[in-house]
Amino acid sequence: ALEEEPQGLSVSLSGLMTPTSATGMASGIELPRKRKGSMDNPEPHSQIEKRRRDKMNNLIDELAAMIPTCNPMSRKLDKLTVLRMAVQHLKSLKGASSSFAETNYKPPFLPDDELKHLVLRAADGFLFVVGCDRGKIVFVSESVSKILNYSRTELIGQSLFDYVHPKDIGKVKEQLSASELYPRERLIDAKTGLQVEAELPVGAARLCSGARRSFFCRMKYNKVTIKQEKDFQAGASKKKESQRYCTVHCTGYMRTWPTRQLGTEGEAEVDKESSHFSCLVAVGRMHPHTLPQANGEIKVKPTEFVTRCAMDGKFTFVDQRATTILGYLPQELLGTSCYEYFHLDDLPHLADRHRKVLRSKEKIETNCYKFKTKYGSFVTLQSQWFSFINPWTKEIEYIVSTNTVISGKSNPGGSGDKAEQPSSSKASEDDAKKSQQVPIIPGISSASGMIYAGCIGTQIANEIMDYNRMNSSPSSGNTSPFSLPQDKSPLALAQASSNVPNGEATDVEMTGKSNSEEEARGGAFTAGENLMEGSSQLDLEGVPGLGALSTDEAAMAVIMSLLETDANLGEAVDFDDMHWSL
Amino acid sequence: FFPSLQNLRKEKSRNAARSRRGKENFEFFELAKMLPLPGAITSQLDKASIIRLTISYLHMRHFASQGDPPWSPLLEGENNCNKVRRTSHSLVTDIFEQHLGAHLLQSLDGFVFVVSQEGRFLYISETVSIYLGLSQVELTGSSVFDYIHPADHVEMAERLGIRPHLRAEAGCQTSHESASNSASTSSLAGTPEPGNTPSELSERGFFIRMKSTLTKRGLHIKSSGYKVIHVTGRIRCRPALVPGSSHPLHRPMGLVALAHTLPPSMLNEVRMESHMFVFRVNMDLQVTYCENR
Repeated sequence: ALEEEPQGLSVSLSGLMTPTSATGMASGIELPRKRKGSMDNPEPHSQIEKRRRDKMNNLIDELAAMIPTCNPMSRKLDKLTVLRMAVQHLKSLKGASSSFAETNYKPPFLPDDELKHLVLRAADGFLFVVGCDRGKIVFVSESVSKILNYSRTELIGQSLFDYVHPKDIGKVKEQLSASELYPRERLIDAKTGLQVEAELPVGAARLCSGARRSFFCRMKYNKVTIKQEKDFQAGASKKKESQRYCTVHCTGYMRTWPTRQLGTEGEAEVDKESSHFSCLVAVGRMHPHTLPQANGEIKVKPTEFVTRCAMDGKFTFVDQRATTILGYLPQELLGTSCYEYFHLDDLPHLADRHRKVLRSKEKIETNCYKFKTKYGSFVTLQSQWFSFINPWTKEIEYIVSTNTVISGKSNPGGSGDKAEQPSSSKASEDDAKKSQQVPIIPGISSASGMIYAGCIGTQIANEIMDYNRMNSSPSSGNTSPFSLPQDKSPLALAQASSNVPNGEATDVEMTGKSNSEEEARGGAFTAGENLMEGSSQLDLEGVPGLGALSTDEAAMAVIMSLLETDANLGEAVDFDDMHWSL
Repeated sequence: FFPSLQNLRKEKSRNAARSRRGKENFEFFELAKMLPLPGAITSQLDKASIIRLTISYLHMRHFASQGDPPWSPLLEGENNCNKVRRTSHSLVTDIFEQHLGAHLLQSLDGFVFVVSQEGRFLYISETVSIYLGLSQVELTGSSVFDYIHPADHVEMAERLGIRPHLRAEAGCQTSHESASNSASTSSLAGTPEPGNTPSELSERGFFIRMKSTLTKRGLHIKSSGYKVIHVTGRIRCRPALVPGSSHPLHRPMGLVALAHTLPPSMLNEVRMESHMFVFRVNMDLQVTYCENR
């Protein structure tokens, strides 16, 4: 039979012959861990003896506590009785009458069954044996069902390569083979990184029994049972059925058996010419932290940063965490309007939110929107805003925004996909739908036309202030907050912003509350596409003469034209022909 | 006559003592034979070790059967099915099943161990001798703290979930100096108490230094004789009903873990394909060598 001793055990046997244990019974009781070179000589021998006796007595007491028959005894039992009861107890556990010492059998300290469980619990590991020739799974331990979710019977007899990721098949084949190195391949020493001269034919060394292997590969993971599938929503079945893999670290050794011992019925693995069966005996264990989750989501604490802005949306404080997310240093953002960074498609929604937060004392949630980073790309954020009102002046001091970076799967498309956005609140969903139908900005055609972003915030701020003014003093109501030309002038912008009481506002952040009525795009806005290229924004073809300019230059051109038209405040400026991105 | 009576009595007591010792020794031998270890080893054990190993063996049985879930043979039903089907597979299966434990230990690239809540090795595989040069018999039943670098004691105690007031008893060095030396305080804050935790939070992964007789004692006195061990595993709990609570509380029983030495020792050569090249960097990622290709 296969009584070959694993190499490890033979090493440990010799290692056991330490001086401590070798002295055995003859020298009587010994301290189990005698410290080498311990300077105990001055200590009287009686003290040493006393300690030894105490230690032995403690051990006996502890042993007595473990033995069921000793426990009920109220009085302390003597040493001999405890020992006898211990022997009896162990005999009863063993079942068999013969003790281990009498046979040649080398028992493992831990029964195989328990060791299996141990390895499963400690390392999510299972044992597998595959033939080297064709990769046929000759054996796999039961714990595989807990790890890969395939039953043992399903796997035995199958080819390992059916369960390995296609791209890893070559690598696994290589591990199973003992082929000579291809001329272009070399071996390098793992410690020095230098090339190793192959002294003996590599094939022989690699295939000899005991040669170790260690590699990673992706193995198929049996996703769900039929019962669970029924619980899925109808929509989910349309999703592409992608095969799930998990990373398995395989470590083991090569083993060869003479075939006559194995029986050759149906053993196609056996090479007819040779009389040996080579295989890899290995433990596959799940790489930690790659356990496939039921829903596929990785729980990561979302990245957050805080900003504050004035009523008109101009940043007055930017958390330093923003830099890693947005690329801008805080000082680069201060004083600029948040609208300059919002994606075109998100402007209507965010303008609406802006308006809302200025009117309400509650926390307002936005949907996911895109914020332009310094590098031109976009990050998807979702924010929570609330306006802080000065208790004495009863005026809005600033708007605080907590911004969360949204990453991961997102569905491109219109606001109809709102339901799948984890961050969307129900209220904002309804608003989104409403904003689609109702043009927020009367006076500008919804098809085209954009406004300089900075105006938007100020506009909304003015709108609110005027509204408040109107409410407080009903008589004054000459200019409607929605009048177009007045608010478009950059000079008016400057005046408007100075009207906002900044006070001691160190950090007032308005996360884009300024929804201007002039928001052109009342159409659908995307619901969280990650890192879209900003270049798609640049669409200056419609603007005569502006096509050659960059975004900033175009914006400047607009400001100049606005300044020129300042004199014509009464006229509506037609921006229909102009397109430019922000 | 008095002297001779006294002598007689003394002799009697001496004989009685000798006889008792003889009987005790006999029982020690018997006990040793019952241990699941090769006879060659058990016949050489000293008495204290025999007791220590017996205690540990009984503890381990308790650990296996009382924990959640109990470590009884997996899937009884399937086992029986396999045996009924007498195909060619079953012969091979039986062969491997017979020595499953040995194959498992041999295939792993580290050693496995179980540590109790009191901080003692309930089980450690023989393969520890390959990686650390320590003996299974010496370690089983001993305190883990005797084999871990003093500066790592606190971290080990934290990972096991040993309450601070019980640590000294377990052998953990809780002196101020060692606590501040181990830069583990920040990482420890995240270790949750396995009181009522779900299974995911019972996972542990940490690094400690363990004594090794294989390490060359060289220039660095402090680190000589130790190897860095990467421990990965889980806490095993025992469900316990708490009066007044509807949910069973999970009391930790100990840690079940796999240990790897760093750097990994087994792989000596790396296979390089044609499209690979080698470069070396030092600890601050400065390239110190690069191949021509």
